[in-house]
Amino acid sequence: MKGPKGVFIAAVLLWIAAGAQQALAHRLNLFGAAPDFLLISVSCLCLFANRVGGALIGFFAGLSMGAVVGANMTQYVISRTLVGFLDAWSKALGLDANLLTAAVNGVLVTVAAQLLQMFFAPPAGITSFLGATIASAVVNGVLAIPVYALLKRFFGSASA
Amino acid sequence: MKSSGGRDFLILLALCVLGGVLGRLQSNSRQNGISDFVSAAVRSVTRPLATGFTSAANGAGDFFEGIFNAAELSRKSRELKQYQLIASQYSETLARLSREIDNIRALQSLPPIGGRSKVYATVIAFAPNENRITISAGKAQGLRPGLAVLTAEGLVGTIQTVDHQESQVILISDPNRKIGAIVISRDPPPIGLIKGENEALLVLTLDSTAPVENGDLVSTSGFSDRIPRGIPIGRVNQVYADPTTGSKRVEVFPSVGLGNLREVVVLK
Repeated sequence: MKGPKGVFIAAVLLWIAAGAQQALAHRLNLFGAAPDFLLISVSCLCLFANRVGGALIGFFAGLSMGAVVGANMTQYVISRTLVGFLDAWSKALGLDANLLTAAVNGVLVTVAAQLLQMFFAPPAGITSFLGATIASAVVNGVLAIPVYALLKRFFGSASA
Repeated sequence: MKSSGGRDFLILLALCVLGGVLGRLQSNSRQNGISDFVSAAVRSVTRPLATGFTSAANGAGDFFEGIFNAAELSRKSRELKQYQLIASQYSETLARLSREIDNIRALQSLPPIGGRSKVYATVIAFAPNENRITISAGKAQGLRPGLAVLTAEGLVGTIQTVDHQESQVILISDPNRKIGAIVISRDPPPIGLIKGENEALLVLTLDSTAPVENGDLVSTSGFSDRIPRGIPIGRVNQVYADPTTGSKRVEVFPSVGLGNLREVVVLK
């Protein structure tokens, strides 16, 4: 993912994800498992980005999340930036990117981002927070598959 | 390769520091009851899309509701029209009685209670984990921080920050926000502070001698110039004595289903 085309696609995806996060995420809540559209976008976009690109994608995803939900921005920006950086860096492991790895990547990115966020801003009920995180991670993993497939059509192949 | 790696980590560090600065900026603005310019800019960019998604989701929900429950909805509509006629008659009586109360208070040299105007708004964003909603009314409609947000069932929360056309509302389920509350079923009503435990449970702290039982109605205390007295908050579910603090921990089920909010009213 390079050049104006990559930046444009990433910006549009984050914009749509931020809008969907505000208006749709809570409506799709099933037994406490609500999707996090911005984390899905981070997990899929970072499969096509380098480390700096991943950090920037995470930064803007955290910025958008903090702004749209009105919560403390620091915890969202730092957790998403670190996860974006590490996710993009994970390409160095040389794993083949496919729909399955995109799904697993979606799960791992969600868990890592939420755990980092928990470290920066411990929630009132840690047990329920962890339960919701695991449930959301599964939903995000499933939703990451079509998003990755769509991005692959735009960017071509990538390695996870 | 090494210098590129070092540059990457420097950029990562700079972005994290920038995140800290933005968070600080956000907190400072919030203390003044406004949104910081970065949050306001992001929300103004995403608002059209979020509003579109909200309208589409509400429209789709209403469409299927209409398809599957058309007969019941027609019956409810007829009933509501009748209730509206009855309510309009009560409103006139209520306005007349309020004027009489204000006249009597004036004779005692007390200020008038006065009515509060209502501002109707749509919920355009909901962040359950952060106990916040965003509503489609702001400074343009005369809103300001601290005003009560409610539905017909009871209190939803209070306004935290106000922008031109939208406001952020902290829900009553927020564990970090306390509101003055009374057990209105009792005379005289015990007074305490209520805060959220989770989306479905609130906790009211009362004096250990306060008379309170399961099923009692809890409402706002009105000891505030922005939140009027008597707005229902919820009903008592359990009462526990806490000997260490000499207080009563009262668990309250909120009157409002916070997960299904669509339209709200702000009392200004």
